[in-house]
Amino acid sequence: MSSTTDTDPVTPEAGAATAHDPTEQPATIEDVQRVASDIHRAVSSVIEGKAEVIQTAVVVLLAGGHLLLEDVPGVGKTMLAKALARSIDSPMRRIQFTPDLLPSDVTGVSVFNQDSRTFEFRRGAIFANIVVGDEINRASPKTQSALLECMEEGQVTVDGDTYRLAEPFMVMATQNPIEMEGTYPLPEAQRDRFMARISMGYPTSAAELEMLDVHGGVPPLDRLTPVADGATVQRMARRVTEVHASPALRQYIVDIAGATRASSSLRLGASPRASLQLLRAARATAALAGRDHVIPEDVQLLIEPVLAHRVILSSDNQHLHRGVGGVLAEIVRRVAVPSGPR
Amino acid sequence: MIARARLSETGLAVLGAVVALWPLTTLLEGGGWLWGLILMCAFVALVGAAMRTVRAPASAILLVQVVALLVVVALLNLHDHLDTTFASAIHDLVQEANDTVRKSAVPAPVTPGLLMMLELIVPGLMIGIDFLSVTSRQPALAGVPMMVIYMLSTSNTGSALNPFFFIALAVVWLTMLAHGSGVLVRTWSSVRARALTPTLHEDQLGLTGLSSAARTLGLVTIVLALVVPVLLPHPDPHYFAKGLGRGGSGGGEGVVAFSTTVNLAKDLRKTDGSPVLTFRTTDLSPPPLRVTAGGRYSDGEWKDFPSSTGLVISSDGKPLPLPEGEAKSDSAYVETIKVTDNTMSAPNVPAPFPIASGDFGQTRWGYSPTTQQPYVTQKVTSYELDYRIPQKDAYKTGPLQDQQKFAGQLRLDPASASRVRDLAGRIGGSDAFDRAVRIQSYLRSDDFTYSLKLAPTQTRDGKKLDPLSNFLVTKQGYCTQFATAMIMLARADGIPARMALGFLPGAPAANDTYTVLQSSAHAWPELYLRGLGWTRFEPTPGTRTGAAPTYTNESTAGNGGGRVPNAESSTSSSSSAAPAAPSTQPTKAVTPSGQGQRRTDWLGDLLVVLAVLAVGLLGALVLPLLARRQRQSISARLREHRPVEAQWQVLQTRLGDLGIPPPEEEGSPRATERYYRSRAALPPTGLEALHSAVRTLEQERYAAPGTASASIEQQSRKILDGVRHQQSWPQRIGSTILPASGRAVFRRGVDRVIGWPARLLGMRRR
Repeated sequence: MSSTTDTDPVTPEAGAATAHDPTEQPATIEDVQRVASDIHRAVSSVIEGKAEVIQTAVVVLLAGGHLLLEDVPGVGKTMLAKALARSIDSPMRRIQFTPDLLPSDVTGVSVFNQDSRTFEFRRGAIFANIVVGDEINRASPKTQSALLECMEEGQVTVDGDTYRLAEPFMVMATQNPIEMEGTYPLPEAQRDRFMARISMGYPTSAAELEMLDVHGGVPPLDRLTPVADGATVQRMARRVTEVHASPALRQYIVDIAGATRASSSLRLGASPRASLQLLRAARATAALAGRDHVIPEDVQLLIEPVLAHRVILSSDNQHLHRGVGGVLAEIVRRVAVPSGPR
Repeated sequence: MIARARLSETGLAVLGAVVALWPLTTLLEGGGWLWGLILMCAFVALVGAAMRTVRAPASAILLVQVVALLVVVALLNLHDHLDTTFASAIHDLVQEANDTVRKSAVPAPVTPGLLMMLELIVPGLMIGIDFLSVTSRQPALAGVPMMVIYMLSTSNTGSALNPFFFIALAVVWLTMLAHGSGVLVRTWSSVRARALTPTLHEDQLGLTGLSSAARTLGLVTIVLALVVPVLLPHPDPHYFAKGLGRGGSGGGEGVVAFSTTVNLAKDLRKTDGSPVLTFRTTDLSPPPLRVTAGGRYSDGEWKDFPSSTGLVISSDGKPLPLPEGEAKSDSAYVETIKVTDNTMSAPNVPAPFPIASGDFGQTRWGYSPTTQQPYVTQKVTSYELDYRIPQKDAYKTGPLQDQQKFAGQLRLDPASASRVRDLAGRIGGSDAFDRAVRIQSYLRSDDFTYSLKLAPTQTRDGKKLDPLSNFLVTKQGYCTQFATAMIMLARADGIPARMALGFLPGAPAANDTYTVLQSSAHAWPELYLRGLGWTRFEPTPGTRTGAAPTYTNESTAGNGGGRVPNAESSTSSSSSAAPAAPSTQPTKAVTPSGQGQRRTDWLGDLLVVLAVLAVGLLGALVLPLLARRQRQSISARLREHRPVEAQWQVLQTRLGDLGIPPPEEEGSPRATERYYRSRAALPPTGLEALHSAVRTLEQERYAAPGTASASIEQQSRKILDGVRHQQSWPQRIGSTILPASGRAVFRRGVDRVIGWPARLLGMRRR
């Protein structure tokens, strides 16, 4: 149980040592699978016909990563984030990124308390379990990097004092790929910090019709009852890290990362961080399927969400028509699946 | 323009044809025809080059070449017959060619008909070589017509060809291949060639490996072609095929014609092993079956054998009169042979001599009053003959009456007369019969060698010896030489003698059945003796003919060891040191060795067949065994730590053997499962087993270690059964005998063996 969420004002480094309650029952894979499918079902009741997107979001949640949602406005990016937060009964904060947004708006600020004559830390929007960064590419690079530090470190440093963030902590940033004017596109280094990038895509016509039917009256989020809490998710996330990844499978991930670096179609291949996150996400995927070990299919399923936003096509235009997805699919096809230790 | 003609390739093609043609020189007499053929080959090649220069389509080139060849052949051979006699002239020439091929021994004379056929066949094949190697740029295929020309020679020689002919042909063919590849490479532009140049990894497996493997393969092929025939036993050609244009005595399907030209100067080619007839008799040593007797000897050739004219018509069962000169003898007894499956064409009919009576069924027949030889009006398949066995006691000493009547049978050949008289004088003998027996013993002695191949012609006093003298000097020959020598020696002693042609009876099979083969054709002398009449002698050594006739053996019992002084001491010291064997013994143990020879022949054939079968059987076992060994090695490698993996890989190789190759790219277990689902058409139980096997495999590969060891043995069996169930019997047998995994192992082994020079070269290059 993290104490950071309970104390106000926070003291630096508070609760850093109390990572989890040692008396709690260790979660089994079945628990993970059950909780995950509960969350999945809950979110699905709000977002129609987007099972794969929800699946990836749950995977990222359980793997302790962050999610980059890239799509046109109005397809439910924010709704997905809200539904996810509500289904795990955790606080959600939303930051609308604009060019004039300051880093302190994100992280928080120390203000002078006239009564106690001390500086007090006022927490920013980042102090929540689920943080939705809307149109993250509209903020200035300075503000963006403030957010990114939090994402990577799980902590905030203001005036030399470090504050731990809530756990579980997940940033779901959205980007609009259409209106690029006046935006600051995320540099590669920052994109690399998102575990996965997904596009919502338009719903199918049946799903859209259903949505109009169901959501016409009551706001759907109001009907969503939480199926878990932050502590449970945290427990599950810890269990996920224990899912077995055999040497052959780890080799497979390294081979794939290596292949993206060697590929002539890609100017920038996957980073070691990408390999790491691929493995973590693969563990979560395996756990979601009720398996205590990762199989190659888990990895293959995640190649595009996890790697597509990290690699850059070579300027040599002959690969452009295939797109990143095509190039990655080709790499997956080519890399042999190791059958055992080499 | 010139480039389009492809002159260098054309030149190579002509060279190829000429080299393939070359061994024909061992078959045909003279050499002028060779130059004619070379010129004609060059001519059709030049026609092709000219047509290519004007960019004619391939079919037009071919057509023009064929027409040009036909026109030239017609002008050369039929220029006198460019009118209504054209067709009959062609017919005559073809007939002549046919006769030449059928009747002549090697080397054959080049008759106009044969020349015309050669002028059609060889340049015709030259057109094929030109079309394939130059016009179509596929020099590899041009090996086929080249081989056909080469086969014309190889299939018709009785003896082995000099390997040099083959090496020359192989070198020309490989040059054509190399030149063709060089042309191909030069057509690449250098930029594109660079773009196509493979990277190092592909270099090992790709072009370099392939071309050097091909080089090695070519080399190995040539070496094997030279070595294997030396190491292997040399089976008679008729085991495998009848060669092109073979058949010294073959005349059409199912009928045996009998060639009555006997040339002493020529090697006897290997003749056909097909049967002439089958007969049964109770006679323990049946005489040869005679077809004709008589003939006139001149210039080393027996000619003018009597024809079937002036016959005495006879009827079945009626006894024939005693032959001329034969005294009635109570002790002479009669044997019977029953001939079946006779294939000899009318009017000739093989018969023992002398016949007492005959039964040819419905067919009209008669016999020659001089030779007592029966003739028929049409071919008879089966007939029955009684023949007399001559008895020695019928012989009467004393001088022969009416020498005039036998003038023809006493005439010596002028070329060899003095040598023959000299030798006959040295052999000597008390009376006619004794002299004849001594001659026979002399010729059957160890000094003489039976051989189908004649010794080279010797020269005496600057003159080449005539064939008979050459035989008497070199003491090497076959039945014709032996018979002729005996005839001439007898005539020199004043005994009338004539040539008889026919067949040896061969070896008896079950229940006294004898099968006479075409290759049993034989020649022997008949001597006219007082009281006995025309009597068969057998001077040809026992290795070929078995024992000499019994009546020629007894008389010499008291005639102790008539040594024959040898005048030709210069020929060989051994022959003078070891004179003829004592005439008491015909030759050493002829009968058993003759029989034994035949039995070992037969045994040898059986052994060859058994060996071929055994090799085939071993060959059929090789691949399954290799596949099994591979499975065992997989198991051994993985069994301990990853048992399921081992079973899975074995399952994959077995599925490969059943015709479902493993997926090309190594995918995850589930991807592999999908692959096998789409390929194998498994029944539901098989699908279940496959699913379960894949899950077990996945467990072993990816789950945390320490889980209980599992096995997919049962699932494997179900899957394999399911796949086998879908297959037809031929597929199942094929996958058992030729399993894909075994083939792969074999291929890898071959690559390793033949690839070592390539690897060596590759290493040096790097």
